[in-house]
Amino acid sequence: MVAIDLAVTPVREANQRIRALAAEGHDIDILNPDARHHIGVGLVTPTSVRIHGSAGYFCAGLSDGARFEVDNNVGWAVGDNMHRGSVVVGGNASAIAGVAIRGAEIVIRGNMGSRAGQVMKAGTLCCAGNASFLAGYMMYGGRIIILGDSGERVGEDMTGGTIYVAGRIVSLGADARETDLPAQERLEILEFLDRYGISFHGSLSRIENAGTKLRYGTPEPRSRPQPYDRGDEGGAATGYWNRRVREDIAIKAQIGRYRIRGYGASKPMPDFGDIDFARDVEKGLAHPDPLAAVSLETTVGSRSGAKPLGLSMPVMIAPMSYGALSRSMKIALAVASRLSGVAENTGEGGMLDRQREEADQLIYQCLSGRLGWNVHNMQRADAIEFYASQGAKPGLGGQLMAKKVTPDLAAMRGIPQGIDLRSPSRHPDVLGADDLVIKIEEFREATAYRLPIGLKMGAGRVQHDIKIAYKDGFDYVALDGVQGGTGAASTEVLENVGIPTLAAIQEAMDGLKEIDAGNDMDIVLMGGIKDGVDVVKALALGARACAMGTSLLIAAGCIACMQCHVGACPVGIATQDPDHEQRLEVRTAAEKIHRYLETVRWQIAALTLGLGHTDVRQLGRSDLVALTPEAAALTGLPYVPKRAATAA
Amino acid sequence: MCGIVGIFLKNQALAPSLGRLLQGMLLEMADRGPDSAGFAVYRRPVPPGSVKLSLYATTSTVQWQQIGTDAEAAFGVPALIVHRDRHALLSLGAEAGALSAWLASSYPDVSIIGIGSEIEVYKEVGHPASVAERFHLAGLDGGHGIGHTRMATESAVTVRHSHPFAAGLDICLVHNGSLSNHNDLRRRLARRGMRFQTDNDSEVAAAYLADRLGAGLSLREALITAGTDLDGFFTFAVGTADGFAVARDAIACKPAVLAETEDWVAMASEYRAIATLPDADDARVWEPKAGEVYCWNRA
Repeated sequence: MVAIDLAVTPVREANQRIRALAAEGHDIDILNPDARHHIGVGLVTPTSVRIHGSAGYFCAGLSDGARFEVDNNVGWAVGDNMHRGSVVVGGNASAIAGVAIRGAEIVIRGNMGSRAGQVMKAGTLCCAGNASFLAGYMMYGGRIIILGDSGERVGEDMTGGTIYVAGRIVSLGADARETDLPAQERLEILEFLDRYGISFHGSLSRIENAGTKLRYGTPEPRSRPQPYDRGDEGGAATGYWNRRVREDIAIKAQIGRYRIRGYGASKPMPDFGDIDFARDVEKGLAHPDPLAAVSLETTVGSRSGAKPLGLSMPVMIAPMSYGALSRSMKIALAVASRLSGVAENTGEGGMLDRQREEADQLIYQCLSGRLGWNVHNMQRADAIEFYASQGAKPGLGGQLMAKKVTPDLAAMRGIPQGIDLRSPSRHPDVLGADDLVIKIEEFREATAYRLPIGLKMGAGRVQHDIKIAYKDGFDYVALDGVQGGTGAASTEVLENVGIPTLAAIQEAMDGLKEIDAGNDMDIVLMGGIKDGVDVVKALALGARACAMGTSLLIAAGCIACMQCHVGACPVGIATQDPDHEQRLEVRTAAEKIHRYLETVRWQIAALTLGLGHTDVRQLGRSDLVALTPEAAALTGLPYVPKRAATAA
Repeated sequence: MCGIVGIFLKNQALAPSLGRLLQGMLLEMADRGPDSAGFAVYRRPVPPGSVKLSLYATTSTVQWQQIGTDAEAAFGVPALIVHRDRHALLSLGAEAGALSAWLASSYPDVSIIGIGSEIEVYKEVGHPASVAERFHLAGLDGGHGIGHTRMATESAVTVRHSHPFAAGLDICLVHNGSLSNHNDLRRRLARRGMRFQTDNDSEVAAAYLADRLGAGLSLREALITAGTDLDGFFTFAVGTADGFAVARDAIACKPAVLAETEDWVAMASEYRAIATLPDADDARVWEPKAGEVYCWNRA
């Protein structure tokens, strides 16, 4: 036993010592914990840690294999995302005990707070006292044993797993039901309780998912996207009640719910085409070798002193999940990122080994459902991105229709296969900027303060949100406008919720200026970035880099049928069906993406040079004008419509 | 977006330590709110018929002693003014409404941030540790108190935007969360005669409580109707002359912990603030329920 006294040792230093001592085979005593947060976070070596007192938020969070004992109480999210190992809490646990665990055993000898076991995937959460409301909220698997009363709405929207209650079931949550308890399960529970020295002889009720909300009812008929064009037909039916409007009504009359499709907003809105360069750029385009004349290297995320991402040009690949996209497509993107010296991003749903091997630099995203999220992948990532929302559907979680939820994908995400997966719309452990500060610190602890921590944010009320991001200490913000794509979302949200990418970057800059933030928090702009021309304009408006998604899918062969959600992608990009996936050849797709990225590189260099600069960092607002009153209003750029005439 | 704390002493032998205990809790919440801090302490009641005002000056040129002299002249009774940093306490035998009206017309640069017989409110921009130090919080005695650390997310970082917000005689409120219908509610309350100093949502919550209490509701009733009339998420701690109350929104969005021993009842955004209190390890600790109101009163 080696003791660490938190009265004299800061938690950050204590966690480093815990890891080092565990590696040497020592057990550890933590003295004077005084409810400090993050004790034991990121520990992936089996050992025993005894906490003599109370622990704060995220005790034993993002850990694997160690045994923790806490003499007294714990704060929020004890055992967050813990894989193997155990935590035994002598007193009470605050909210979301055992959140997102993937196999660990969490035992609370007292009572536990609300939303215990939220989005847990596997393992056991046991409470010898009473649970508060919403125990087992949105759990995907594993078991919760409550020896006291259940609290209100137990099992609300659980997808999988089982909840056992010895006391009173105060009320059942939506889509939860009581069932008989098989004798074998009772024996397993008694064995578990015995192992932790909990004496129990009473009866147990068993609660499971009722299965009424796991799948959409009537399937949506396949259809081709209709253009936003009021003059499409001629005659009396044109205009207001055009073919698109009529088709939408007819389909909803059939299925009785919102429609779903892939891709981003398609209705006409201001975009980068509505701004132009303030000067003629022919000089750059005519230059024999702009790449040799312009410096493009870009770092992202150095604000906190972490090792920033190093990009060969101010471009990265936008986050897109293995799930929305096929494994082959994710690997092709990873290969292309290496060939072009940019960063790849996992999106939701976890990291593929091959993706990690191929990608030169890989950003690992943390989403609300914690699907495919684990400390080991965090520790082999090059940056961590906390997903708050995305441009195509701000405020909502991801959707993945049943056809794409294959056994392999379900196992990686820790969810039941074959469900219409709707990820939670918010994080279990972050309900405001104040909680977010503590969450970011947990990420930093788990990655030894080595990695940039970014925020992925859909454009909504950017001018406020960017200030929160700055205050919370993010290294960078990935800002996503309404033109950003998605694998599946309701059309109402796609077309009507986010704000244009062009407006988003301007609001971000205005917000940061209001608080004199300077330019140390990098903005990575995304949402419909088509090419190097858009990138140069975004940089001139203040972005540090841009991320490209849809354009790279198109480079790889996407035909923009917008049926990504169906899972039968004709070109093997957005599918989990092996017959369809084999239509995409990884090497060929990677080379196409790479070649396209190289033209983007040339465009950025030639245009930067044409504007009279030798470094992309020199681009600024004086390089741009607005071609329309709307674009001028959004960006504050001078309205110079005659540039449009010249360009034409 | 913030951290909030509150402590109510059941054992009056601890009264000399109230400020020290509250300060210990407040500083634990500094990470949640590094921009400004404030606290209200209920202590040393003025005699019946008198009123105690917590004042804050928006300009640095205010002559506090002159305000005291002018008040004495205006009301014909002795006044006591105690100056602390940019704040002052003014006590005298006058009716609260008349005194407020006189002050507003005579000294428009001076804001009343707390009013009653016991309440004293102090709030400043800056790190909670420096705010506690400026007002010598650790040295204040009293029966109960609430505190707030603020991370400004939408409205500005100023003293006026800091908590606690006064909500009537001896009543004040601290808030963790954010309200989405505050603009609408502010307009409706303004039509009923309430006056506002900021665009802050929490000030609207305080004004809402004052309005409901003025309409004859008990504090518990007012906090219950707040649950339906305020759209958004909140954990509130409310101080009154003889007690304090805690309320949470219907889905318990923001964290809150309650703890009770023979000697005290405490509330905080996070347990670590409670862990600073004497005998915290032996306290009964629980999470307040969504949509519930918890009140403690001095018998």
